[in-house]
Amino acid sequence: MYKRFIHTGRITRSPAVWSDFTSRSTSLGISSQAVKESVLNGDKLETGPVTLKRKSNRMKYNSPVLIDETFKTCYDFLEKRSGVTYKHANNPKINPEFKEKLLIKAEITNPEVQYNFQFNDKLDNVTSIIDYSLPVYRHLGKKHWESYKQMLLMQRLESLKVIPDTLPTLTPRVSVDIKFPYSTGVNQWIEPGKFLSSGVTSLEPIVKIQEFELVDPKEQLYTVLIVNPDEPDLINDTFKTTLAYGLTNLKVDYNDNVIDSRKFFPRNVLAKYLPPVPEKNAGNQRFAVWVLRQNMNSETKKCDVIDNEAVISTFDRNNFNIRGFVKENNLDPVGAHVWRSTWDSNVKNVRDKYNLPKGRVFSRVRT
Amino acid sequence: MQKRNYRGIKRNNSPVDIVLEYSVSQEYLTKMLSISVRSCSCQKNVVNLIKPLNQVRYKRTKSKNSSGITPQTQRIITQLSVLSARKKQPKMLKLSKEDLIKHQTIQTAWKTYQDILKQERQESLKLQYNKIDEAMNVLQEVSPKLYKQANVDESGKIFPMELRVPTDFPPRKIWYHEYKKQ
Amino acid sequence: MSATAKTVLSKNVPIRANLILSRIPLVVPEQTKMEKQYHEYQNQLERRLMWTFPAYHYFKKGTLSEHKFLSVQNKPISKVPGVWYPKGIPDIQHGRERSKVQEVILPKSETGEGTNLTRPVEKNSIVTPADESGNTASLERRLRNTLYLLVNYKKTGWNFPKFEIKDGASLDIIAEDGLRNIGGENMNTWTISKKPAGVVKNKDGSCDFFIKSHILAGKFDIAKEAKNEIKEYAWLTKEEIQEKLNKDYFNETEYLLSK
Repeated sequence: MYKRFIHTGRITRSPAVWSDFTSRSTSLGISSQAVKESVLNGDKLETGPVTLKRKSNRMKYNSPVLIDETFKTCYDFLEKRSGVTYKHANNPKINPEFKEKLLIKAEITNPEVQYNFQFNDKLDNVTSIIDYSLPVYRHLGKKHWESYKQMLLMQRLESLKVIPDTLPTLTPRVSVDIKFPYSTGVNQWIEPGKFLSSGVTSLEPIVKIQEFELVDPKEQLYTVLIVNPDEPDLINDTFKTTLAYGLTNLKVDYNDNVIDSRKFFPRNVLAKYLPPVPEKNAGNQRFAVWVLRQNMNSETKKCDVIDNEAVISTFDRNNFNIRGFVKENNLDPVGAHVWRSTWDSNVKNVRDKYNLPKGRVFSRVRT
Repeated sequence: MQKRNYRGIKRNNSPVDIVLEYSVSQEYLTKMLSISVRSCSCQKNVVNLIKPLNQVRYKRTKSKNSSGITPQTQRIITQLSVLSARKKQPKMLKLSKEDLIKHQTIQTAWKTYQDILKQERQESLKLQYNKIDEAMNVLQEVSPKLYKQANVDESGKIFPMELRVPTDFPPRKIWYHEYKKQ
Repeated sequence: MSATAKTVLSKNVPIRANLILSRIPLVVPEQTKMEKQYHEYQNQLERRLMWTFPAYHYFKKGTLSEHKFLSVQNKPISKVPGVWYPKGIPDIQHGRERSKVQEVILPKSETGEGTNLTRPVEKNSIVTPADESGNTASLERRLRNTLYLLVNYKKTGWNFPKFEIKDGASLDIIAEDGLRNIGGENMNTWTISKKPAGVVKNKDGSCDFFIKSHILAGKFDIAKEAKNEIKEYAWLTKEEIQEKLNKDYFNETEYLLSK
């Protein structure tokens, strides 16, 4: 308790944990010096808060009375507690999960960390501001993702019935985002379930895999599969699943986690990208992006590597059994995404580009 | 022009009827209107100016000294107005980014502090309970008679009125020493 | 009671009823710096977010008191067309600038001394003369802390009042009667519960049961009959008791006392 802080003869100065960056990352502090001053010491200048850009707004602004003094006392209180938590965390005998929890607890009340997270881009994060390799930012990112995007994704997966139609279910642990920068030049993240035209999807997407849990980013390998469960199978009068795109043995860092052409080589490609080429009147096709973790050997701490050449013979990409594939290769689905494609007049051009056969035109038949 | 002295409640609102009622020609009407329009210097609202002619007269509702509302009703209206937020709510407090972060920090610090105090209180209560339990167990072993006397139901026992609640500052007469046994 | 380690306590074990007689604090505990600042900050926020004072309800329109009230208030800056307001355009309703804290100033009463509602409150001193003189026998010291009665026995030294059990009486009656025997009749006490709050098992096999009670009014004076057993008495806080009692005994009874 604050009251019980016993004063000894030699005044033990409380350790300034949050202003000490010798052992802590600089992303745990506010990078802009002016804003840092304004937050920690209060803006004493007549010009008003630094974060308001327009001078007229700055002049109009009245901050709450007594906020600076109260903040200082509360800051010292929280910093002291953080110091105690850090001491516990530096104990070498604790297990890594508990250590992570302690490190989160030590920094989550830090106002600089809160400022950095709340007022900066979380998806296209700047590592010097939001560094997902630090447990506290990962925790905050996870909470932010769970508050909206995870729920949105699960809603889309369930209402589009991607979940029972491809893999049975998903407990999402990884945030997956996709973008089609090559075919469009547009730098826009896709909302799950969005209808994308054939032009947009004519070239492969890039996948951003954001891990929130404690994994070994140097060893853990990932597989990305894009499956289309709505390919018409006339012979069996049903729909079959095809594999549109397959990548294996991908290494994903906490920050550098966008899987584009710079991050993989031909040896990672399980199945080359075949764009969505829906057929007329065959209905809308869902394209499910599955991100799966490859099996991690708990004793050797090494990840299983999928031998693409050996594995290719086990499946047919035109009639892909995703559940079988996942089971055989001990894959763990951790994240997913979905977009939809439908026939448009440009599909013909995409087929020509990829030397695919002509598409069929379906029509309604009275039975 | 045959002028009709028109008073009373009008049942039909159409402008055409009014014109007929007054049995005045359209030309004369528009002429009068255009004069008034020019004086108003508001060319746009010619059509709307037909409306005043269309105005219907109802019963007198609001007079100068609001004598329609009794004092009792006015009192009730004022009381309702006092209870409602209308025109009494101040502007929403919008904080800048730094101030928001500072406010959030203050709130988390307070919550943490209150949690610590609550934790201490709970631990102290737990300890007290366990000690009572221990004492009663020992008493039961040592003297069943005393135990029986102690183990009565004391629910419904309330604090006495003389037990003064602590205040911010002491009273002028701090302690009543002069108590005598009745 | 554990079935495994059943200490065979003979029914002839000497039992004593000890009394924890406490005077609860008369003044609230001192606020820490953080508490004070936080309360002030929250008060200011509340004032900023408070609804405007409905003066039209408390002061009837056109009356003299309304005129007096309004004349004492600071008038807000009104909105005039054509004026540049760098601090923001005024938004006034019911005479209150909506973006600021409303300051309601009460007019000073002219007639009589006691009619002035705004006269400052005289606060009594929390540090009493008994505090300053260090008179441990007084009940008026250390108003922020709980005081406990400690008795200096001639044979055993400073201790809580102890009483041997009598036939037929329960522990709390023994404690109350015993207190009256040693301290005189002029005390108004209230026993919290018939059940003992704790027990101390001594090395010689005897058991000390603690009964808690509060003193509400009156004075403890060493009775004539007790003068040969008791040297003196004192009303002490927990910290002071720690100094008086020996370490082991204090550790065993610490939980009974509160700051």
